[in-house]
Amino acid sequence: MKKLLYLSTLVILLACEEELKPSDSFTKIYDTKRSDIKYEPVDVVEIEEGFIILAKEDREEITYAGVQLMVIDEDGNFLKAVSMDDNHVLPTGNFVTIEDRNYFLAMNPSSLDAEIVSVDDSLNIETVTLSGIQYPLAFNKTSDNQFLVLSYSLDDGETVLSLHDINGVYSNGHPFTTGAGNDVTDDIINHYLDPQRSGLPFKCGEVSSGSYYFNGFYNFSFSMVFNKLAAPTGVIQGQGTNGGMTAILPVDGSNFAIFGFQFNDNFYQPLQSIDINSTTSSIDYLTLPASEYIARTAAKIVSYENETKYTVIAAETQSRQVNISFYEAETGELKGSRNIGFINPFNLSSVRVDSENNLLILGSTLVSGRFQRAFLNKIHSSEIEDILN
Amino acid sequence: MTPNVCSYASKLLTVCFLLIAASTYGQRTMKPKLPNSDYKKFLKTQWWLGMRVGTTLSGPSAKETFSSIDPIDYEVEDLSKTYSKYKNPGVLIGLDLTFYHRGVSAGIQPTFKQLIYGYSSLLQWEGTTPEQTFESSYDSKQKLNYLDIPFILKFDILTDGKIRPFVGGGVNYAFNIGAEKETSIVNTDNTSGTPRSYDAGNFVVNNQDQFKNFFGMKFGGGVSFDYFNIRTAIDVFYNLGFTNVSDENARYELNELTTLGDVNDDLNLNHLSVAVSFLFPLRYIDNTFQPY
Repeated sequence: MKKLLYLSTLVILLACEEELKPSDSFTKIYDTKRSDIKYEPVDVVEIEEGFIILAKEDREEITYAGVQLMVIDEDGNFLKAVSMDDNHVLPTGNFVTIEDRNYFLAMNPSSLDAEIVSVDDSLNIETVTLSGIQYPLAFNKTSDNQFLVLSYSLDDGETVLSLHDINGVYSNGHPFTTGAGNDVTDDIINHYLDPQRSGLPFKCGEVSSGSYYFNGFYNFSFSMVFNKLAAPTGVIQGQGTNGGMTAILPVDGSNFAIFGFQFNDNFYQPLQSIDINSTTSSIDYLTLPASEYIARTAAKIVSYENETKYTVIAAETQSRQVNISFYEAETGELKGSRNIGFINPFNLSSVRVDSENNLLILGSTLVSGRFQRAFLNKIHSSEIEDILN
Repeated sequence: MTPNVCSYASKLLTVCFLLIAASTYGQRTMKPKLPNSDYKKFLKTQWWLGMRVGTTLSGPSAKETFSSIDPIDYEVEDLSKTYSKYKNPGVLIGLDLTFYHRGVSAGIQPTFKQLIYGYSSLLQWEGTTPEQTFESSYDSKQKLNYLDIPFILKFDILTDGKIRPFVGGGVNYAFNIGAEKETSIVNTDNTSGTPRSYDAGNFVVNNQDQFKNFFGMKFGGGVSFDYFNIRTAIDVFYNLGFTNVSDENARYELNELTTLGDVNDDLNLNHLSVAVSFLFPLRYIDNTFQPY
């Protein structure tokens, strides 16, 4: 009898030893009751409390998409949301952080002027109008904490890359011709109004201090233009709006990770040497079409580092999932991959690495197959190690 | 039953058969003879080994409700699930090893136990017109397989005779060894002005990772029948789950049902079990032994 009791107690005690595992991975979808509203997330930024999601809010009352900001706690739970009024539209990333405020671009729908919108962790919003900077297209920050703004000048028919300080004051910039007599206004309006069908991957960023790139209209094509806020030093020429670069990430020196499109094909190179002081064509980098991705997929490339440095390429698959692939930065070798999304379509908006080295994938999904809502998928760093092994 | 259940059950049956065969072989070869006083003393103590089969009915008790959908402008309670309780029978099959002494039995019953429960939930959207109203209803059936290790004490109400009612109780620890969820979706569309429902899919997901082991207690009673040198016991026990069966750490991990908002609530898995046991004595006197 005693032995039986001992045995039973031992079994129960041993069974109580539960496996400890990371608790920080999650996938959450943020829903509204309204069937006539849809959300297209733009970017996510980490704050002390959790995250802020920046989204386009498609409202019936206004022509351009409105601005919505959602605060999410660190476990992915919705905390609060603020919708900016109809005088601020077309939220544009990247969502960048300088000191304790987070910044993004928006547009005044009346003047078409760009606005730098800043928001703190409590969703207190401030806006600065960039007079004369029209049609905002892309936003980033430089290594010395200035804002890099890609815009389109309707009056001059030129693409403009400009630098602004933290107060929005213009410090430097340069216009780039879209080609004599080449009016791209319709392409830009369609990019705003019909992003699903006519969206274009406008980008801007810094290659190294004082050296910049933008992906936009230049000289009759949608091109990747390298410059020092002066005449281009190098160009990766697209093919009208039918071919060009979708995403780019400087890896080291003259090496880049790139993702591009050529009509309905996509291509990518996790490690591609590019001479930023010469003119090439995007089709030069198409060695093998990536048939797993949908035509004109959104694509994001970020750097991820644990003990090894990786390049993470994310894009939308033909099966309407979001694929995340990890390549060793030094060799370009594929090290792991994961697909996100089941049953309903999942679309990609942004990929970020947070301060704890977790990966954040922001996008939209169609709840019940029809209502476009934002989703946030957080992949814990330990789970990433599993993917990489 | 699923193929997994059949596999577990067949393995358990094989083990039961081998153990019982061994015990009956022992009875045929052991033939001690005892005087009358020793004979009565002998009857006060016994080891029993056998197998038990039966059914379960689960009544989950949700402590907190969760969804992978987070509402922006409506109450999270609107996403809560409605559970159907004690409606979905599962199987149980296992061993029963009991030590009996003067009307008190103590035993362990390693049992494969299938617990099944169902729930439904409803998502609704509204627009500016009635035609923009849309509904998605989800009906899910969750099947959970456990290896349950209970330690049970039973007290015979009558200690003499061939029919002995008893009451008992105990504690148990259940190891999660499998889980499968089946969800069917029905959408109701009002676009044409009148509600029209249609089947929007049926999904089966292996979700063992979403569950964990649990600890509980049980109480109940039954009656045993001592005929043909075996004991046949029928018992009914109510099992109270003390710990959450849902794995909080895995709740929001992405799976096929995340898009539907379907994640597990925190719940205790209370259930009713009804079983019949066939027990063989492991100690005996001789081949003319008339024990009762």
